[in-house]
Amino acid sequence: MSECCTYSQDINTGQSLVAISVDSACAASLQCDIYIQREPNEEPILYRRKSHPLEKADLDRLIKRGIETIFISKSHEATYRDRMYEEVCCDETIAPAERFRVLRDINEAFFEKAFRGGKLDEVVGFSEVLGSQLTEIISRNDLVVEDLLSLMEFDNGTYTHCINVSTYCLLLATHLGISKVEELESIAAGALLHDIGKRQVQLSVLNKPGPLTDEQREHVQRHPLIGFEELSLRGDMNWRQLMIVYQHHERMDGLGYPTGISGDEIHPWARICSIADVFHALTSIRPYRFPLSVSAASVVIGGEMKTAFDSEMVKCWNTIMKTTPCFMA
Amino acid sequence: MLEYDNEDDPMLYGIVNHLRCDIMIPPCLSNFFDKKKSGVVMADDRRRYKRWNFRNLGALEIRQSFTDLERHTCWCRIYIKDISIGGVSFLHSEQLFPMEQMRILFPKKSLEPIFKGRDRNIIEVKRCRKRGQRCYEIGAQFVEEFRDQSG
Ligand SMILES: [Fe+2]
Ligand SMILES: [Fe+2]
Repeated sequence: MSECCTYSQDINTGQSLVAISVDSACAASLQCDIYIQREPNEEPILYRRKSHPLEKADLDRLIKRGIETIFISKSHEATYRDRMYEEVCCDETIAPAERFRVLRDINEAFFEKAFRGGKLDEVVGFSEVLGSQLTEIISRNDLVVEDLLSLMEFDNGTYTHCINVSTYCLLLATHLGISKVEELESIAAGALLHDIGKRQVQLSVLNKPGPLTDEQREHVQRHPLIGFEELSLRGDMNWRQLMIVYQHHERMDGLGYPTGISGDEIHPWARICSIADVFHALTSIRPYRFPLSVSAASVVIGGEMKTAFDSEMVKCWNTIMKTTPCFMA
Repeated sequence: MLEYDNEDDPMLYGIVNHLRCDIMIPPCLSNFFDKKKSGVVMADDRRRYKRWNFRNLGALEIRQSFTDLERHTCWCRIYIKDISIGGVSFLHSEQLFPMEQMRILFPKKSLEPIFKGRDRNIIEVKRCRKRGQRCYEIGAQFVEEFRDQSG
């Protein structure tokens, strides 16, 4: 199945097009102009006008022709995502793993934004490898899927953030020498839910463009604790995963929250997540500031924020940044 | 040695004084047991119940609440900071985690006007903040009984 992070252009109108998978188009019953590529490297051409919506049979025909990706205009992307959400993610007759797979398709476009400055084809390659690992991990765990679906319903930004942080955690954990599949899966699943407590924070506060009041900050800073409480009661997360949720905002210098512990008191998995979390926060669009480039974010992590993180892990992260093609500007 | 008032419940003090206590009071809390602090109502509009400063000694029975978090059952001495009908905050030498449940003992005679005979012996940890080396401030809620650990 193709990924949907490629942007292209309608050669006649010049409008930006975004690629989506045929599978997900099928699920979302699209009502907009549809474009296809006749050959892999050709510009997409208009295939079907909005007035003649695609039928299931049309999509089957495309799949038979080996076409796995279709394009819609960028201006329809938001509507597409909303429809996907309404028609697929809320449909409890579809298995959670399948709902997640569709969700992930929607999410692919965000990878491109996350890796600004990277080379697109390598970005796709990167997201394919880790993304499919992640998809498999998630698909095996219905409860995690349910949580992710509810997180997406709550706030798409938080959902996207969690997917990305989990991907970075996998990357860092692997480079730190963690090789047992069960451990890697456990880290990825814990990281996916690291901000689950944010569902209890008001959206207006979470996405507030300006600085938070003391009371609002206090409220936001309760999310690790809320997440921990919620997940620990459920009993399907192990202690190390719970520590990711509870301690991912702790800092090695003791200036973090909720407890203000330092050094070895912070679980190693939470230390991994804290680097991944800050890296994604710095490189993604936030309501209150523009994203940093990969290299600028690395400077912040290894410089002004260095006392916050495990220095060995930062070293490892910097090596990843310098040697993984998609991160290199 | 920190000073405290032991007139409330001399027998309990006798026991509590023999319990292990590893708390290290950081300089910023050196006047923790200042008598002027006890009994003063703390202003905080967001709280459901009125909170009283209650600087005193107490005992905490450490128990295992999470399967993956090993705790050896034992009693230790804690320093009570403030109290309300709904909860208590105290200093302890170790980090405690939210949802951990423990038994707590503290002198209750002077608190009778607040508690009015209600049992206040079991707590569930709600928050924990490190105040210094071997000093954690714990906020906990009183609960009626221990959570069933079986499921
Ligand atoms: Fe967080
Ligand atoms: Fe986060």
